[in-house]
Amino acid sequence: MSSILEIKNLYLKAGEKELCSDFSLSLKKGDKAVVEGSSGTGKSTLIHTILGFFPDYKGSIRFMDKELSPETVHFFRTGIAWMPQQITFRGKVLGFFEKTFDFHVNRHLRPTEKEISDYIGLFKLDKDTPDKKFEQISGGEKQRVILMVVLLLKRPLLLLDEPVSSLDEENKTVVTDVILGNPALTVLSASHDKTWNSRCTINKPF
Amino acid sequence: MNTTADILWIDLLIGQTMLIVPLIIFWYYKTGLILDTLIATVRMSVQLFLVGVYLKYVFEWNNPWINSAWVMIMVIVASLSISDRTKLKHRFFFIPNFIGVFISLLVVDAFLLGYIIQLDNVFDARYYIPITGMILGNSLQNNIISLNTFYKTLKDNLPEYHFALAGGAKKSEALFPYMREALINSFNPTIARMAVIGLIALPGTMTGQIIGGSSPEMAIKYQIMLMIAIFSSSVISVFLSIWVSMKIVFDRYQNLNLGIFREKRKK
Ligand SMILES: Nc1ncnc2c1ncn2[C@@H]1O[C@H](COP(=O)(O)OP(=O)(O)OP(=O)(O)O)[C@@H](O)[C@H]1O
Ligand SMILES: [Mg+2]
Repeated sequence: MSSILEIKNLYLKAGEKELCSDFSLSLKKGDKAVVEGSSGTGKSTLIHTILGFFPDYKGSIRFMDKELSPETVHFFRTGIAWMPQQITFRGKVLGFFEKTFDFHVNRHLRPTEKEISDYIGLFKLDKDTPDKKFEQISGGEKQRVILMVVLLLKRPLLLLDEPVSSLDEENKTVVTDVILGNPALTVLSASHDKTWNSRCTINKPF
Repeated sequence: MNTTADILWIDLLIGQTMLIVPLIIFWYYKTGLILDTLIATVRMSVQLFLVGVYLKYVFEWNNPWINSAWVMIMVIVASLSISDRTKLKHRFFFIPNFIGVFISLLVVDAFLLGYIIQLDNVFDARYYIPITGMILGNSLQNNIISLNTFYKTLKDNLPEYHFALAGGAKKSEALFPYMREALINSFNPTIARMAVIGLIALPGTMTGQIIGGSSPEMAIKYQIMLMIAIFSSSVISVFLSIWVSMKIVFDRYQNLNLGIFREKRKK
């Protein structure tokens, strides 16, 4: 079977700083990959590049057999679910949820109240989390809220930027089980976390 | 109309000393606005003086081409001063501003002068020039606030914008919140001002017409029409300028070109 994501000979630069010069990676369905490296090596930039936010790269990035280009970038952005390392949102948590599912391509996926409350239970979030201001919930709560959106989008590839960095051990185990324990999900993550990284099937230094 | 009391030139000069009070306040609070205020006052006076001289001839000739050329110059200056007062570069924003201002004027002028006031000659200097000038001058502020709000909010919330794009939003969907915010920020004060007109504010045109000797009734009819023309044209030009600029300042991956922002204005 052909790969979901195929990166070949990627060369990345941020300003004058070279982030990688010959990075390659191939992900098949069900793979769980993590790029590891100390802070500032460019893991987040790699993820941004795959999503087309950083067109200044050399090399090849293919998702489901399409090369990243201005013509295919929308295909990438509707086929990949991204969990950013940091995100701002001015409004309530519920509004944060609804926003993504208001976009035309996602309307048919709009979650039911039950789906949302199931996830809230699964991720051990307070029941009133949806009514809180997004900026007022904690870093770990934000991570789980974003993960809910990412999972509810039901997309063929997940790009997770530090998915468990702010979680306590208990929640970390839950999240790791839900994502890395699900054979149907294909994941590329950036992480420093031992628990998470040890359960990934592909570990790439970056 | 010879009954209108004239202002002596010398008194006009003395009248300008009124500015000392605002200047002291600006100076005390280190606003850095003093030089700008002085320049703006001098520009305003010189420009009005020249315009006065110029208009005398324009009214005598009353040639549609000359009148239109004059309006064209006003549109160009307006477009430049919009990007001048925002923190955005002319290079990117002159054309969007020009298109927005020009088209909104065209539509509103045609409707107001051609249909409502029913001029035989739409380009009649006596109507065409002052009315166009009023519309232009009043929409300037809205254009400045909305452009600033749109691009500043977008820049300050880039992760949010990226998250929307990555979520599968079309560009127009991803930019929707910023257009919304720009419109609200820019027109909230305008609407509030319109709501109290006549109660606590007598607008310029009306004041001018009444001082000039027109009946209050006629002045009111003109004022109502003008307010609505100004408001409509402002919204149209704000929307068009932002919409056209959206075609220019994003790359083919919908990323915002961060080179559109000017460095901070020097004190
Ligand atoms: N637009 C930019 N212009 C210049 N330098 C940039 C830009 N974006 C990122 N960088 C630099 O690129 C480097 C990589 O940043 P990045 O966020 O990708 O690192 P990271 O590996 O994700 O770090 P962390 O583990 O802390 O999340 C950093 O040194 C950063 O300062
Ligand atoms: Mg990072």
